[in-house]
Amino acid sequence: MSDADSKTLENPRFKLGWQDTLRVLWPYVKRNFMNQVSGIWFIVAYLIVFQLLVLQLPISYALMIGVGILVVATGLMFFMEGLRLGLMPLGEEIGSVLPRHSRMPVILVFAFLLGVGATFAEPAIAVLKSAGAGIAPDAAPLLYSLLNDFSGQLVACVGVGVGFAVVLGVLRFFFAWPLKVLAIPAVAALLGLSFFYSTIPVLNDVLGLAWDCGAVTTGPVTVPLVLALGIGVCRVVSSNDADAGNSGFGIVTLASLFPIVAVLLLAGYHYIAQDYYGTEGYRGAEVAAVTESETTTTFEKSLVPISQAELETYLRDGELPEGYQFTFDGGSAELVDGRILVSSPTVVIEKQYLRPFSLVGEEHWDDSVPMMARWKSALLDALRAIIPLCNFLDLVLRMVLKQNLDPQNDVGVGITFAFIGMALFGLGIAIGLTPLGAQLGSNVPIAFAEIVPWGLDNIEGPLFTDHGGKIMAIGFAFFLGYGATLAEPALNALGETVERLTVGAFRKKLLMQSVALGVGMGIAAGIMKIAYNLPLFWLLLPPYLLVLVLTVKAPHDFVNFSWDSAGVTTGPITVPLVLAMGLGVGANVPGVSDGFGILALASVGPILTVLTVGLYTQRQRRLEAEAPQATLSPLEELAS
Amino acid sequence: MTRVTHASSVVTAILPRDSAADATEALRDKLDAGVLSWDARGTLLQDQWWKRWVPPISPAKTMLQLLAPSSEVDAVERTVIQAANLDKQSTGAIYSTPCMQAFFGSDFKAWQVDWLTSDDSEPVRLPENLSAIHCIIGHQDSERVCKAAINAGAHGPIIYYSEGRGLRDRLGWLRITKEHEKEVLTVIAEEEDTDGIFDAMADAGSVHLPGRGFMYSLPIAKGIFNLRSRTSHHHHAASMQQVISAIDHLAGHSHWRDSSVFDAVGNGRAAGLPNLSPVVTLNNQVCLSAICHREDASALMDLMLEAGAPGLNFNYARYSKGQDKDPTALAHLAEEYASLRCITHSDTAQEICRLLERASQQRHLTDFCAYLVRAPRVATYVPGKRDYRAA
Repeated sequence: MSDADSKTLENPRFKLGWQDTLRVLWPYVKRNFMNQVSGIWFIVAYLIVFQLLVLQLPISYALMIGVGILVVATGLMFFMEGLRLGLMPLGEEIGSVLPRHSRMPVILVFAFLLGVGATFAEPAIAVLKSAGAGIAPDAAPLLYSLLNDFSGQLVACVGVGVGFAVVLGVLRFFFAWPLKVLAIPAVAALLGLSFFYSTIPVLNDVLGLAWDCGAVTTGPVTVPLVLALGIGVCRVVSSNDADAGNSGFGIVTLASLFPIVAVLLLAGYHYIAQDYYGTEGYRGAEVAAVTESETTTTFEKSLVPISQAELETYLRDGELPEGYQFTFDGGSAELVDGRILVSSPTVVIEKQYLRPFSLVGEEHWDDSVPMMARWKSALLDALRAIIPLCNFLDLVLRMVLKQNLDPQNDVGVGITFAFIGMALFGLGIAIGLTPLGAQLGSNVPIAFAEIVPWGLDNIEGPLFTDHGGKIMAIGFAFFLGYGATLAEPALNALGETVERLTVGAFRKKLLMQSVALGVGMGIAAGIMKIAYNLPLFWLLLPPYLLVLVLTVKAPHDFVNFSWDSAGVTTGPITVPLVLAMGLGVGANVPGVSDGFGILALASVGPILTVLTVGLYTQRQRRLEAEAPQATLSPLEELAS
Repeated sequence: MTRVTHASSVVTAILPRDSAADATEALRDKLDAGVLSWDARGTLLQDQWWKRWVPPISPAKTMLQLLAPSSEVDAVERTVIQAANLDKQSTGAIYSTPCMQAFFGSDFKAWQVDWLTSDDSEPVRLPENLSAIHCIIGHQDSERVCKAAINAGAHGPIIYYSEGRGLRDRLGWLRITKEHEKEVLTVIAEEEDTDGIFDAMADAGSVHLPGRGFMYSLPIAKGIFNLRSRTSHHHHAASMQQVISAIDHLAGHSHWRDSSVFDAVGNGRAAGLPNLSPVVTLNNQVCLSAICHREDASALMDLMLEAGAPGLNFNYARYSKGQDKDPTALAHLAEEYASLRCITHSDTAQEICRLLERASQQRHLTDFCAYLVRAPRVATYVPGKRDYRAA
C-alpha cells in the first residue's frame, strides 16, 4: 500500500468562517456546561440555603466561592469531555488489543502495574491524614503510627492491594467468574477479620482507616480508565455464559475491597511486631504531648460592654440598648399581701451581642492563601493524576503492543481536555466548594452545641436540644451526601458507561439517583456514628450482611453495577465536604477524635440501593415472563 | 476475486437476551451458520401512573443478523422461530429483506453462503405484508420519536447505537463537538401502517431540519413480529396488538386500519387526497450495507467515502460461529465485525460497488461483503431544493 493510497478521504473539508465556527461551537459548549450545572446546582443551592435559613449564618468569602463554583463547572465540563474523547478510548483500545497480542503473564504484569500506578497517581493519603487530623497518639497509638511513621508503607500496601485487584479483575474476565463468587467470600472474610480486630482495642482503632482506604482509592481518573480497560477486554474475550462477568465491570469493586485487606494485614503485622507508638519497638520520633485539643475549650456567651453614650440615653429616655438582659442578685424577699416582694436587689443590665442578619459575611475573598500557590497545586495534582498514567498506557500501546491509535480518535485532544479540566476542577474545589462545605460542615454542630461559627468571631448557642440537634445534623448529612454524589465526575463516567453498555436500557439518571440516595443514607449513618460515638464494626455489619443476601439474589448485571458504584462514590467533591462535617461534629462530641468510618459507610449505601433496584427489575422481568403466552392470531400460526 | 450474487437475503432477528443465545446455538447446530449479534434495547411505555416518574428500565434485546441465499431463508426463519418461540406473545421478531445485489470479497468467511439445501424444504407461512422503518437520531430526540411511533400504532421501537462518519470528518478539529453515537430506532410495521408511522416518526424527530437525523424504510419479504409496546395492568385481558389482530381476523382484511382513508372523528383527510406530509422524501434510493472486520472498518469507510458515499453509519457486532468448544482454551477471543450502512442514490451506490470491486484488492481489503437493498422511502434534510447527492 503506497502512501498516496492511504491518504485520508478526499471529501472536502468545510471551510468555516469564525461565525460558523462559533455557531458550531456554542451549542456544544452550552450543552456540556449545562450538563455540569445540572449536576452541581443541587449541592450548591442546598448548602447556601441551609447555611442562610436554617443555621441563619452569613456566608463568608461569598465572592470567592461563587468564582470557585463557576470554575468547578468549567473544569468538570472539560474533564468529562476529556474522558469521552481521550481517556476512555485509550483504555478501551488497550483493553481490546492486549488479549489479542500478548500472553497471559504480560497482561497480568500490565494489570498489576496499572493498579499500582493508579494509586500513586491519585494518592488518598492526604485525605486520610486530614480525617485523622485530631488523633492523639496516646488514644490510638497504632492508628497514629500508621498515619505518620508508616504512611509510606500504608500507601504501598494500598497500591499493592489495588494492583492485585486489577489482576484478579482481569483474570475474572478471562475465566468468566461471576463477581458474586469473588465479592461474597471477600466481604465475608473482611467482616470476619474486622470482627476479630474489633475485639482488640488497639486494632479496633484501625478499622475505620482500613475501610476508608477502600473507599478513597479509586478516583475520577482511575475509574474511567479501569472501566474502559475492562470493557475493551470484554469486547474481545467472549465467554459462553454472557451473564457471568463479561461486561467490563468489577475491577473497581475489587479495587475497593483489596486495599482494606492490605491495610488490615499491615496493621496486624505492626501489632504483632510491636513497633508502633508507645511500644518498646517504636523507632519513630517521640512526639511532644499533643497540644491541648481545641475541643475542650469552653466558651462563654460573649458580652459587649455598654458604652457611656448608651448609659446616657438610658438615663435620659429610659431606653435600654438593644439585646439587653437583666439579672438581679441579693435583696431580701418577704411576703407582703400575698406577693413576694424583693427589696433592694442589685440589678445588672447587660448587653448581649446581637449579630445583624446578613446574607454574606464581611470577607469576600480569603487572602490568607495566595492564588498562585493554589494554581500551582491544582496544576501539579492534575499533572500527577493524568500524565504519567496516560504516558504509561501510550508506551504500552506503542512499545509492547506495537499498535498506533486510530487518527480518527481525538485521544490527544481528549487528554489535554482532561488535564485542563482536572486542573480547573481542583482549583475550583479549593476556592469554591471546600470553603463553602467547610464552613457549613463545621457550623452544623451549632444545632446541638455551642461553637464559634466558621469565619465569625462570636459564639452561637445550640439551636435545638442535644438529640434534636444531632438528628438535624444527621438529616443534613443525608442531603449533603446525596447532592455531592450527583456532582461526582467518576460516578458520572460510570453512569454514562452503564448507559452505553446497556444501549440505554439502564439510564444514567436512574443509576445516579439510586447511588446518591445510598450515599446519603451511608453518610447519615456515618455522622450518626460520630455524633453518638458508636462502634464502627457494628454499624458496618448489618448493611454488609444485607448486601450479601441481596447479592446472592440479584441478577448478575446489577451485582456488577452496584458493587462498582460503591467504589466510585467517594471522590473529590464528597470527601472534603463530608470530612469537614464529620470532624466538626466529632469535635463537639466527647471521646471522638477522628472522622474515620464515614466514607466506609458511604460506600455500603449505594450497593444496597442499586441491588434493590436490581431485584425490583428482576421481579418485573419475571412478571412479564409469566404473562399469558397466548398465540397471537390464527392467521399467523405457523406450519411447523 | 469478488463474487457477485443476486439471490441473497438478509435475515434479521430481534430477540430477548436469553432466547438470542438459544437461537444462535440452534442456527449453529442445525444449519452450521454463524451470525452477527449486537445489543439493543426495547421500548416499553409504563401504564402505572407512578412509574412515569421513575426512569424506565427498558428490556434488553439482542439483534441477530445473517446473510443467506434466498432459498435458505425459510430454513433460517423456521430454525429461529422454533428456538425462540416466536409465535408466542411478545417474544421478538424475525424478518428477511431481499438484496438487489451482494458482493463478497475473496476472503470473506463470516457468513457461510454455500449451505447445502436442508432436506426438509417445507416452506414457512409468514405474513408477507411487512416493512421495516429505521430512524437514525440523536439521544435527546429518541424518546419523543418512540412515543410518536407507538401512538401511530407501532410496537415499541427497538433501539441500538451506531456511530457516524462523513459529516464529522469534514468539520476538521470541530468534529469533537459532534457526539459520534446516535440511536437507530427500528420499527416493523404492516404495510398499511407503514406510511402513517413513518410520517409520525419523521415529524416527531424533525428529520427535515439539518443535522437532526435520517430515516428510511426497507422492504420485508416475509417475517413475523410479536413485540410489545407497553406494560399493562395485569387485569387487562388482551394486549392492544391482540385486539387489533383479532379485528383483522374478523374483518378478513386490515384496510380498516388505514386512518387516511376514513376517520370517524373527522380529523383525517378525505380519501384520494395526497398525503400532506411535511417531510421531504427522496426517490430511487438504496441502502448500501457492508460487513468487514473491525480493524478494516476504517479503511473500508475511507474507500466508500472516497467513492462518493455521502455519509456512513456503522456499529460493531460480535460474530458468533459454531466453534468447537475447546475446554483447554483459556478464553475464546471473539471476532468483531463492523456493519456499515449508507443510503444513497442507486447510481452512486453502483459506483461505490464498482470501486469496491476494483480497489479493494489494492488496499488489502479482501474480507468484506457488501449488499444493496432498495429503500422505498427516505427522509432527511435536503438543503434547498437541490439534492445534495447529485454532485
